[in-house]
Amino acid sequence: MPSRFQPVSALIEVEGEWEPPNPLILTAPGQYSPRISRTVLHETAHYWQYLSEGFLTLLAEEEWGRLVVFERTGAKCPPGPIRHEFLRPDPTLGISPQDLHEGVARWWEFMSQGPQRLIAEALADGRLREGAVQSSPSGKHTNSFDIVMELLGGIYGKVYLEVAEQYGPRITIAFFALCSHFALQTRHPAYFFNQFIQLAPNEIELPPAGFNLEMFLKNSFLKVRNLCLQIVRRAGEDKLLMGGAVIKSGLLLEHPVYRWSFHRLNYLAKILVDIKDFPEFASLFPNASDHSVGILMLDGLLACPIDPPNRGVLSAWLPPPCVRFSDGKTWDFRQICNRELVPQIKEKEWALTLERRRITESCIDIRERWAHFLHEYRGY
Amino acid sequence: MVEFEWVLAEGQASNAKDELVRSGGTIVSDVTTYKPGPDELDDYGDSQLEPLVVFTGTAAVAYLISVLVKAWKDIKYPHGYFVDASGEKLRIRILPGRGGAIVVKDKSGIKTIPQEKRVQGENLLQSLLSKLVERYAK
Repeated sequence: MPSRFQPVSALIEVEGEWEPPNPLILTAPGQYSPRISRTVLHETAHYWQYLSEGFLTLLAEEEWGRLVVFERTGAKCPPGPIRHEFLRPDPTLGISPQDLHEGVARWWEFMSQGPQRLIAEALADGRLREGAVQSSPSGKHTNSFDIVMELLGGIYGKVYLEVAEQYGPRITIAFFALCSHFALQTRHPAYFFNQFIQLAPNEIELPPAGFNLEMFLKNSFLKVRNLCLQIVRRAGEDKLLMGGAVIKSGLLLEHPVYRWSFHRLNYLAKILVDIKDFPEFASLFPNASDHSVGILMLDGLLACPIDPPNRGVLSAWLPPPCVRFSDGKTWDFRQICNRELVPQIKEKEWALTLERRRITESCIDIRERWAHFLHEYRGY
Repeated sequence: MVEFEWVLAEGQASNAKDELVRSGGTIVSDVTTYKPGPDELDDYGDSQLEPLVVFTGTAAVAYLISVLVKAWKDIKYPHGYFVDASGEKLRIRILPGRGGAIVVKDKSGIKTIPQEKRVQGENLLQSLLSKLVERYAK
């Protein structure tokens, strides 16, 4: 069983035997079982992407629609327009929305552990030889992060490197994550990504060499968002498409896991407003409701999900609904985050336990139903 | 000899080509990147999966059967194959995971041979693939 996030069920599947869950997997992945942490973190990043990036939410909705139609009428609908668009490469950069969403998850995954730790792990398990990290195999890359991405990043690492080759490593490291995030909030992510990353360095000052990436991403989130919004409006679209808006207005409101996740998104948005972590958001939008400001603040977290402070909040309040291993055993998010152990929220969390169990079971149930649909549709 | 396209992980391609040539086969066109189609997407969601590539070669049917049967014995990298004989070109596509199942699609439909039926499966593969010789002969 390959490791993956399955959009239609929101289930994370991990190749390998079940291990006891540990909250460090999401909160400090470099310090706990790096291989499994990296896989779970990568797939969890996808879960957060599907909740925040409307194009991906539309993809989940389209798959859910195929399943619902099959179960209600027996009709075996083929993949719809979103899945076709998901795989279609944009001619300029040659990358598809799938490449983009996988590429950025791989980038976050590598960022969270750092090049040195990844090299040490690969040397220890024989994937790399001593000396292999001294230079880029293709000769195209010079900084250590890009060389590690080239050596160990696989198919999804190539996306970041291709963008870096086109636009240069400094622009790419500064704008790759945010431009991907906002591009995936449009109906043509690959096209808009290219537009965004082309124009971002002209409008937003690049930080000096050796800058703090997390700080830059936090400080430039609204500037990049505004720029991307202007670009999509010039192209005739009226807004950036947030995942929550897709869930709220469509078929996914009938999907037990996405509906539950939607409520968690709103709950977390309210918490963010209450703790007033980002006062600049509220001051920039004096006429916006608290809820709108909260949603925007939450989008800021979800745009940079592996940044440690953001990951801490998201892991605690919006962990993946279910992680299933090859042997069929699972973690539910109660186990992953062990929030029941935090005394001040114990009572509230216990009240949610039964509901969470139902959500975990729903993930597995939808996975089985999708497998049945696929078997009927494809014949295997 | 039959002409076929072989879709597999990038890291396996070099060995696969060498073995094909050693067995008396030929390489018709070299390795290029393979992008799965919409119906194939569910087979390739693995975050740690290597890039997929495709090349075209010619081989004896017996060699193709030996390639497929080898998947049933591979415990280090569990995988199956999808043998698509429904179109103009014969295509053998790797299926990561899937418990080593071999899926054969031809104009009559789809047959799945699970790993646990590998003993009878070899004969079934022989009968299914030998019908293809004329169609994909080179």
